[in-house]
Amino acid sequence: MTPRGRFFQKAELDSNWPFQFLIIVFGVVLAMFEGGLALWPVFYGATPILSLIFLFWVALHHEKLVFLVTGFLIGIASDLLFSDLIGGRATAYIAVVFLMDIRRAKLQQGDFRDVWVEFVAVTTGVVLFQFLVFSALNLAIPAITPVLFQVGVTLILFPIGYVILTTVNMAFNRIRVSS
Amino acid sequence: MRASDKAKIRQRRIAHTLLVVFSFSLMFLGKLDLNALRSARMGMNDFTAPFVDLVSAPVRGVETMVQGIRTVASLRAENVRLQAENALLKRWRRRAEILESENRQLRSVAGAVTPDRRQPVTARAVTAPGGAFAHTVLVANGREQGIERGNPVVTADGLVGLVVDVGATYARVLMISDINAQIPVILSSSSWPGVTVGNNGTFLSLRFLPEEAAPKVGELVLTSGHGGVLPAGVPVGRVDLVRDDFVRVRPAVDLRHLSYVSILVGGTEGIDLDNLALEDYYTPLPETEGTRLFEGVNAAGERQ
Repeated sequence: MTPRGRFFQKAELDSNWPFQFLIIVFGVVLAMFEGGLALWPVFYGATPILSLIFLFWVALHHEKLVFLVTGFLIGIASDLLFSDLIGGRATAYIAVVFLMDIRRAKLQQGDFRDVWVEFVAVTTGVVLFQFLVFSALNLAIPAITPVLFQVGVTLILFPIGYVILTTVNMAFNRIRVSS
Repeated sequence: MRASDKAKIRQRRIAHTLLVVFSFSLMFLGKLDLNALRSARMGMNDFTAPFVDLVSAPVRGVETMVQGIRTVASLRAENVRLQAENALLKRWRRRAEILESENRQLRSVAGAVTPDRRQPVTARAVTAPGGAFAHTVLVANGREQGIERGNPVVTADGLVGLVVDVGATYARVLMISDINAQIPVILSSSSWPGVTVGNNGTFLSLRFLPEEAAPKVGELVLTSGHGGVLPAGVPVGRVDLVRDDFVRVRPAVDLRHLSYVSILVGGTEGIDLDNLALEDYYTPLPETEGTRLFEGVNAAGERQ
């Protein structure tokens, strides 16, 4: 009889820890990519906040995989790399995860329009928070146009990001079921 | 609910509160400009910049492709434009030669000192400003290449900004369009001094001009050299709009298309860049009425 050791056993895919870690890593990479988008002149000074779309989607659909520290780490990476206001986005992202904990049940029962409206409020809140803190700390008001452009592009890209993330999630689920 | 569960929930709440407090206080600590925080940030940037570069590769690839297509499409128009520009440049060159000769004579009369000796170091811009709250870029050169805090960053068109943080192999450049960038300048034709201030947007505003100054649209704005950090005579931009007391300047460099920049190393010997005493280095207005400042010369007539 051929010996069947641990190498022939099925891989353990039910552990939550690697997925939580992956979400943080993917979020940070997305934040880097988001900064890279500024190399396109059209997004100069105002890139779409892709990491927020991702964080919002994960917090909405995978509550067990997202902790406050996830929002903090993604936000702080973005702050350290591209912002002058260290901790600004991190604080805002913590607030997003916290808010999603409260609003999740209601949003999951609603349709996509409700989710989008919620995202509009979240994005406006995140940017407004950064804007107010930045203005208060620097005693100067930055140009409004790039801020509005950034919010606008993020809101427009949200449905696309939502569909892509849902599709990827479905593909992952299929792989997990078949394995 | 069991007592252990309650304790766990309490611990979690405390941890969350601490995280929020820590995150919020980071914003204020960051503004204190602490050396430790700055070093930690540049350490992290040194570590992550290659990853950012890698992640940005597809974006850069698409941008190069789009530029290539655009170049091919506009080749004919570009050729015509370049021929006209070439003719114009030839005329300017002749004029520059005449002016250079005149300048040399004037310098010998005034006993002016030769320009600062600064060595240009070419560096690639790894990032571009992505947020509306900071206009900084990471460049792929650092302490190992002799870059220091305060080094000016330029392109062939003019001033980009100055180095504010230096890591081992990467440096962070504060662009002139950042809200924290205030550059001492002079108006090229009238030599009135002022300060350009960024607002995290496309344009700069020109402030602290004397009341008598009358900037004209299209007038070149140059660095004055006050403070000694930036060399004198580097183009910052051109006056774009004059409305009452508000003067808008369009940067000389197209900051949206930065790929390579030159960092001017050296020339700041004897200046404590971490602790600039403004009254020692920056004299924005002439002490006696009726006199005007020349590039890089303070009110006492000393070169800065």
